[in-house]
Amino acid sequence: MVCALEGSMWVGNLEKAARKAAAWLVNKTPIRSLRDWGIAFSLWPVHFTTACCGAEFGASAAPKFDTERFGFLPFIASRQCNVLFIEGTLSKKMAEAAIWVYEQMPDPKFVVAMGACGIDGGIFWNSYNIVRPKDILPVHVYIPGCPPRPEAVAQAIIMLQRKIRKGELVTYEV
Amino acid sequence: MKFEELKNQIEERMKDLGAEISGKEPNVVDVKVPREKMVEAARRLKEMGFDHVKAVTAIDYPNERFEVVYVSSSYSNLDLAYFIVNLRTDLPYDDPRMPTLLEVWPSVLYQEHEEHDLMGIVFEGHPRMGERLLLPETYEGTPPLRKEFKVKTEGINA
Amino acid sequence: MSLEERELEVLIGPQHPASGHMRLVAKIDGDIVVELRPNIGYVHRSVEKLAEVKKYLQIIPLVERPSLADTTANNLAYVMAVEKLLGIEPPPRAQYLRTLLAEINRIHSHFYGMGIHGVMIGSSTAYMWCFGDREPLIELAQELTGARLTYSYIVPGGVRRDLPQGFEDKVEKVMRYLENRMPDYFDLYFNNPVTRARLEGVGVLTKEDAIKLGVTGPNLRASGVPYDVRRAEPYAAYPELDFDVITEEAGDAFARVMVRVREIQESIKIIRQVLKKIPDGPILNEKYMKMIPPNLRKQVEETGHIKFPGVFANLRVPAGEAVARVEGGRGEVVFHIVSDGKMSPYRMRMVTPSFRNVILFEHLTRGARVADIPAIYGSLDYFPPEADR
Repeated sequence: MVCALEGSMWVGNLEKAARKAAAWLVNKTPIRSLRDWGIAFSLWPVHFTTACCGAEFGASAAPKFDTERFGFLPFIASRQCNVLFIEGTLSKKMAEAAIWVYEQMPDPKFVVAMGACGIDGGIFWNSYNIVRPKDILPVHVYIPGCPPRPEAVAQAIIMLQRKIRKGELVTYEV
Repeated sequence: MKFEELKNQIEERMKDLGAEISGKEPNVVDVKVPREKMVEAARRLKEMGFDHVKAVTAIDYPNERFEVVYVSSSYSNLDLAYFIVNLRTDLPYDDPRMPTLLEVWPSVLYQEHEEHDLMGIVFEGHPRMGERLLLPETYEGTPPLRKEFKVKTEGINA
Repeated sequence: MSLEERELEVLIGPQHPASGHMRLVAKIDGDIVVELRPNIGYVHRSVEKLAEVKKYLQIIPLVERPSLADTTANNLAYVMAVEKLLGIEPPPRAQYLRTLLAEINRIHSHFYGMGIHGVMIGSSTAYMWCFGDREPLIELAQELTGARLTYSYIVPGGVRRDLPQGFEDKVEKVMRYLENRMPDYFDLYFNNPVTRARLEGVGVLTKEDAIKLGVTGPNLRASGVPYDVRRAEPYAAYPELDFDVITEEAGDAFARVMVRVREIQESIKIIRQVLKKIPDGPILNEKYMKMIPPNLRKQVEETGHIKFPGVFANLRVPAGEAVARVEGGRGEVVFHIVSDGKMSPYRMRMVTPSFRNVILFEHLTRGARVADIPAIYGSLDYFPPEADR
């Protein structure tokens, strides 16, 4: 269809236009804050333990610290999750798997690197078999400690939630 | 059983294998045999009751030799469980091969495989030679536990 | 169709609900596992190589990292090997403190294993309870050492800290709590018909095979071999304490869990004896105590916190070889250290219980059903970072 008003939103590819309209609406304040609020309280990390910090990650999901109260529920399948926790050292073999898991997760997705090893190798900084998570994945929050206490994990979750609710991390583009 | 008694027993059994026996009080006996005699020596130790291997250690003395140590002890005879027998052998540096002891001690399956992976010792007859265990499958180059493989260090040593 | 053509290869992991950092490559025929090969090395961080460039005291935190839920065993075994080379003995009070921490650690390591096993066979309650009941013990260890998991408490010649004030009462309180709590576990978990059906008769390991394959720890004792390093080569304060070596005869997954439960009860007994018998005295070997400057030594005596003497920074260990073994929560930890008289070991071989138990994956799953893989996996209390080092 040729139209005099070509270039305007109302003509052309209807599907594309609809998507554009939806993106505009979702990025507007009331809906956007509702959206970010929803994402912030349904952070589901995938069951992917890369190294020994998993012991403290397990403890933070257990009764005393109970991160589920932040809507933080470890889940089995990567396709149903939106947070990837790098729990400690990432070996070369594991790094491949971490990238696969990250690619399988639906958008929007976040990465948290846990422990000194997740930041810059920690005690294993000169090992021949490690990869620094920042080199292969976009990391949003780092947790220092070796291993970090479960309180630190809770703190990281709250930081991630704040970042999301500020609208820094999630954007919809057409 | 007394330490001396055990040492003498081992000495008697290993006499014809050309074994050098030494001991460390209170409970460690070292048995050193040439690599061709390893299987036979292991079999005799097993007959005595040393039925499993706790550790296989390969030690690298650059441009000189490799030393392979089998740390064995007993589960079935609790009198012997107090003692540790180190069965050791020297391998030439340019030809680090030795027969596998898998048939005598099935417990060395992963231990020998690891020493092959990280130290580059070839255990002839082991079914998993040439495969990687701990390193990534794509790894190539010097086996990392050899002394010529350097890692970064900090401080004055660097 | 021939049998080979019906076989299917299934890759389990490294991302899987059992949260293990390993891949299992299973060849299955229908519902039956024909062959299963664990593909390990996903957490290989080269502890043995790094130990060759670190100083003796720096290696203590390094050897703890691989086995985060059971750090004391590694710490103790490493320090014992170094002490054998140095030819020093810790004073009696330090021996008792080492035993105390080792037993606290054993209990919470067993809870960790049981909790993860609970997740694997689909019982989240077991996970929640075990991890919840682990916390009081971690709190105790934290008060004694200052860290939740990585204690680095044991140093050559002694320990780092003395008992805090009023610690005995707190320990007694926790022990009483655990004793009252254990019957609940039986009601809810161990005597649960689902648990029984999933674990009994699954993954049976005979006594002969257990000896032949050189497995270790509760997995060995569940097959009826009464081998425990605490008895075979007594170390720390164990020669003076009265305890039983727990064995079960069945050798199946349930027996392995039962050994852990009964060992927890045994550890409670040991901890009570330790607190009753603990002698007064120094907590660091006299030789090192003398090297602390006098004003600091006074402070050490007042606070019970050791200040390291300068010699620790560049600890030189005489040339020689030493093998030390310790019974940790998961089994026997063996350290084989070759020293050439320098500030770092020439070669440090660290054999962890999990590495010796990997062989069981191949052995026990042959002929089992696919659904039994998690039940067997969990019952071995296998911790991948510990196996890969």
